Amino acid sequence: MNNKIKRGVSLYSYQEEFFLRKMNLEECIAAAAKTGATGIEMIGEQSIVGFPKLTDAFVDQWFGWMDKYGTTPVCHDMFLDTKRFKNKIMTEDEQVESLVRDIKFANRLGFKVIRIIVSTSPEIMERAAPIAEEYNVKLGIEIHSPWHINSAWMTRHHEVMEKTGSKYLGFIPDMGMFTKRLAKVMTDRMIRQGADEKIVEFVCQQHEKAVMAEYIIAEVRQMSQRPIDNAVAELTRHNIYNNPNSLLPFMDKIFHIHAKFYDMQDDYTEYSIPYKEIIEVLKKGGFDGYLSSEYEGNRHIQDVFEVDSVEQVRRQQEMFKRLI
Amino acid sequence: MGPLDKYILTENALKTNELGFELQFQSHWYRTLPLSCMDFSLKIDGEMIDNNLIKVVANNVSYTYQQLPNLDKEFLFILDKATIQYPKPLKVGQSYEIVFNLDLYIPYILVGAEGKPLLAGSKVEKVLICQ
Repeated sequence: MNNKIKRGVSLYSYQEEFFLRKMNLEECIAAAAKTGATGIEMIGEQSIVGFPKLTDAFVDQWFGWMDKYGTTPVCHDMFLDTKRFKNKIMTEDEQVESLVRDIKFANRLGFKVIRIIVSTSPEIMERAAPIAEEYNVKLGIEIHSPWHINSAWMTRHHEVMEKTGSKYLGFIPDMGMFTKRLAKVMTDRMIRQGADEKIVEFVCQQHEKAVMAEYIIAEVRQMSQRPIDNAVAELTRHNIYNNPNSLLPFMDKIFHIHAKFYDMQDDYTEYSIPYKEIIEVLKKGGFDGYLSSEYEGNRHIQDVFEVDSVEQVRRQQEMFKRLI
Repeated sequence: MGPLDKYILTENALKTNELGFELQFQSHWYRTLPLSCMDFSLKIDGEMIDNNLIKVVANNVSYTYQQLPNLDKEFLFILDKATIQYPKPLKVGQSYEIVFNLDLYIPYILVGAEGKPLLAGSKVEKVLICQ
């Protein structure tokens, strides 16, 4: 038994109910806590009116909720809006300024980690590291499929971590990079949108056999000219699988984990992402951060089903309880 | 964009008074975006509304359409609505065919060789009774 892995929930998981006003921010925190998770992850731009400004009253209320529900702020998810203007891109100075804004925001709400959006360059990370240290907030670059931990972009980030020796720079892997089977909720939606069922079956089989995405895409292009069929093939490019053991050499630099999922089954397994294998690797590597639920199945079923994010997160947390 | 498009305009979104009509809209992107990343076009009963004549009210502040591209710090929260005001009154109780295109330029997802922001567009077609 390894008890070092902690359980958290990203409030992003409840986006459907939040948007439809079925749950407010406090109710999202309460739902997360009810699963037994203790860590709270949040997107400031999603959950907080007036972001990035924070009132004293809100900050008091926030920590009041943390006390009330026995939860801890764990991770704030930042964005780098480099293209806020149509004809102008942010300069490097402006990017650093934006990140510093998020560091201060996270610090004020007690978050010890920031999920850095994958497009952020290693140079920006290097410049922000001393400020992160000053505010005691770690910066973890998100490793989001189709990137994986050995992608060239991540290698560059790793080089900066090594060069600076900063304990405040690291990784936040998103478990979507371990998509062993394409999510059925995704392919079913595409069938509803008119995708050819035989092509869907072919693509799923090829992906499970670990055939390279480019080959699958090229093959499907020969089979059909329809955009929807080719979009099914493209899923293989954006939902990669690589061996979870690839995380092991970098375990000391993994601050936090996005436990992405699309479809928790009745038997407490996730259809497409092999969490049993993943958690074995995390235990083996001595990961002691938070495994944070990130439900993203809502957008694939909302056209035909009522989304129940609360139940989906509950099932994933139950699975974690059993596997950790 | 998808099934949540139906929430962009609610059934009571169209209102009028003696100065003109108002149309309230909401974005359903999962996070708040600045007004500089939004664009729209509106047709009522087949007539295209001239954006040069509209005002957009967000967070209780009124802007012209021409100001929108520069409003990078004015965020429309995901649960809040913005209002388009146009100086032409409509008739209370009358039905109008609305075609509203809401284009969101996602500032953190850059696509293509030129690094353009991802365009997430929604087209809403609804018959609304003017309130």
